[in-house]
Amino acid sequence: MKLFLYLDRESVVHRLHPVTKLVALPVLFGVAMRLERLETLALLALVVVVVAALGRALDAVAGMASLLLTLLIATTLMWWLFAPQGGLLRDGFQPAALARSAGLGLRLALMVASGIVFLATTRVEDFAHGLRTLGLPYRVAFALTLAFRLVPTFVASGRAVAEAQRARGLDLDHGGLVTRMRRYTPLVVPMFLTSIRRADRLAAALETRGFGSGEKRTDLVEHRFGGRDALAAVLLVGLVAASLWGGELASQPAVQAALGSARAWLEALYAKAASRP
Amino acid sequence: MRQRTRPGVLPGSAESLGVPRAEIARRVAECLGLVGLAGFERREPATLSGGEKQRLAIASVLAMRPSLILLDEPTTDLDPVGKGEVHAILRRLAADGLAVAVIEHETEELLDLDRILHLDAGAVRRDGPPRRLLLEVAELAAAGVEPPVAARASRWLGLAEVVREERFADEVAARGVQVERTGVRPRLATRGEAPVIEVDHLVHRYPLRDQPAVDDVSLAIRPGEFVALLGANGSGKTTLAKHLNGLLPPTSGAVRVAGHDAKKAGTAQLARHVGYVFQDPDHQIFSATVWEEMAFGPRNLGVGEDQLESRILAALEVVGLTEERDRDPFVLTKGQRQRLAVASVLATAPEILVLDEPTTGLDYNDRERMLALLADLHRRGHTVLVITHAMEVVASHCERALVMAGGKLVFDGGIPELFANDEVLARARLRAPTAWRLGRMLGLETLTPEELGAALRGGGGGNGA
Ligand SMILES: Nc1ncnc2c1ncn2[C@@H]1O[C@H](COP(=O)(O)OP(=O)(O)O)[C@@H](O)[C@H]1O
Ligand SMILES: [Mg+2]
Repeated sequence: MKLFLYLDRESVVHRLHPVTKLVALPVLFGVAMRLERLETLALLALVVVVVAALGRALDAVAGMASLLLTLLIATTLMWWLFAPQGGLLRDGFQPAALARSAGLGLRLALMVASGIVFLATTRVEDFAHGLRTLGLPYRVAFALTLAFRLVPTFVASGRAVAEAQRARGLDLDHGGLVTRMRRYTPLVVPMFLTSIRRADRLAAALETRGFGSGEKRTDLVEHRFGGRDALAAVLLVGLVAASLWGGELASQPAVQAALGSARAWLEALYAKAASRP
Repeated sequence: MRQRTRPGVLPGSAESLGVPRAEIARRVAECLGLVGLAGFERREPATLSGGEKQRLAIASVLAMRPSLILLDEPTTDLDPVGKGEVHAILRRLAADGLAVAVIEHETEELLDLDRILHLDAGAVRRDGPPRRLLLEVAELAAAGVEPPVAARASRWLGLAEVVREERFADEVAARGVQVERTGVRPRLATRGEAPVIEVDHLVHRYPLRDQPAVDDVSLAIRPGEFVALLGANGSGKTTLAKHLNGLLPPTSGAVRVAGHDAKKAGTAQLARHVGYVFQDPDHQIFSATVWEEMAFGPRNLGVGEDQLESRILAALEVVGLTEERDRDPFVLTKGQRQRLAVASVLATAPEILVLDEPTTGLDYNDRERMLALLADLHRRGHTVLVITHAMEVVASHCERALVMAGGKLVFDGGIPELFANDEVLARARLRAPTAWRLGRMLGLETLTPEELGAALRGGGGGNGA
């Protein structure tokens, strides 16, 4: 696992105002929550992939592929097996239920993937700046970004502790639940104690650097809204509209006819291509 | 839209003090320049090397324009060249009029400071210019401070203050000291036995990293060898070492340890053969008593309670912690905790010991104890691989050095051959120890201060120290 997701690259998504991205993320989440059908969720997945490509963050998403796949498969399986309606265990095999479960899995994976794209294209400092622009007090914004900064540090020290104990023969993979729980003591105690020590040092370090000196802070990071933010806003509104009324629109006779002729055209094209020697 | 310069953490301090934005940007650039990090504005601090991080920390404090800067052991875990760089920066800052105070227990880099305060039991024991004060070799040693090697050499020459390195040969000549040339050192002999550790074209690539951390390394270590693994911060030493007990699986290539394929055997199985002591003892200590901490490893390996006691007692004896057996590890000193970490690994009775920077952060006495302990284990027949930045340790204890640079193994051979190889030293950011550098000016190959002293005194010169 890489310690930070942020990729220091030049891209349109990187250059978006952090507030734009901070608004876009929950909006995307909202849209994903609204959509239920596998087909429409697949369309949304396409949108996320395009944004990731624009932000040159496809490799960051790919790097987390195992996490995303685990989420997708686990969620799908859980819903499919245990869903209150159409679940395999209650109602037996139903293709529609499987599709719906896959949609729910995809929804979750999509939300995580868009989070990854956000983190890969937004520096922690810009994130903090965005939060402050949205009106959060500095201390709160700072605490949030600090938490972000510390996650990799905690992960690293957690890994160091686990390695140190495995090197002394600790085996976490075998045995019953209770013995396994007990085996976590050698991991939890050192992690807890090193974390406390680190927090202590961090507080001292912040103070020596004038944190909370009472002076009015200067914010070094500066952003202005630009044309691309306006464009992003329009696209977002379009996305929300499509998710709200897209279904109705698609059932209009005129749209149905247009879709039908488009399909006919594609099929003709395919037939022509296939008949070529 | 973003500004052109977008520095990372550095502005933190100046921002907190309400300094105007344009001024901050200027200060940031200036302070980074001062510590030799110009052009690093956009780097994530976590991706910096140890030395770079330390310099960044200095820059971030400088950005507040203090009139005094206080550093608490700023170079403990840096590679030799990184240590030198930090001290060079501090000297330059002092020359520019900033007051600089450094807390240190390593004395080698302190000779060019203006003044040293020697604290002992909470009181200032002595106060004076380094080249005079550090000449009091016996007094320093008695107070648990390691005197610089140049100071001991100056004593042997009967000088009134510690000699400047570049003047050493002249001083020796001026005093008419005859240098006794010992013959050329025997070169490292290759042994016949089958290796206990075999690394074959090992490559390790961390996810999402472009450069492999270990890049096509092959080596063999035979039973009973005492080997140093050297290299700059971030050169891949720890990554290589973690393959020896299966903590990391090879991306490609193979590692064989005590007859097992390390990847297949797994860490729990290899723990019987390889004891691995991590850099930070606090990452492993979790028990309420020293005794319980010691019992952890052997119990994991299925050692019966009947054997447990004798094993623990033997291991505690080796590291000199028998008295502490019922104490809480968290009240022990850093040096004691470090030795406890070694002991808890010894209790599993491994034939191979891998130690990652076991002397980092220890003071003179604790370091000497740790080294004596390693030498003792080596004498008892353990194969020892030690990762370290302390070149004096290498010179006085190890038989063979493996040197890494940028993930590659760039040197594998005897210690004198390494110290004589300026190209490898420069590439791996290493520096031969003072005893070697001074000896070399006289045409000698002296690994330790003792050897240097013998050469000087043997010629009928100096008057002991
Ligand atoms: N868990 C990790 N994930 C990604 N990169 C790592 C990890 N651990 C170490 N590295 C990188 O691998 C390289 C070698 O690191 P390491 O083996 O720790 O070097 P050394 O021990 O010589 O200081 C460095 O560039 C370091 O940043
Ligand atoms: Mg290391």
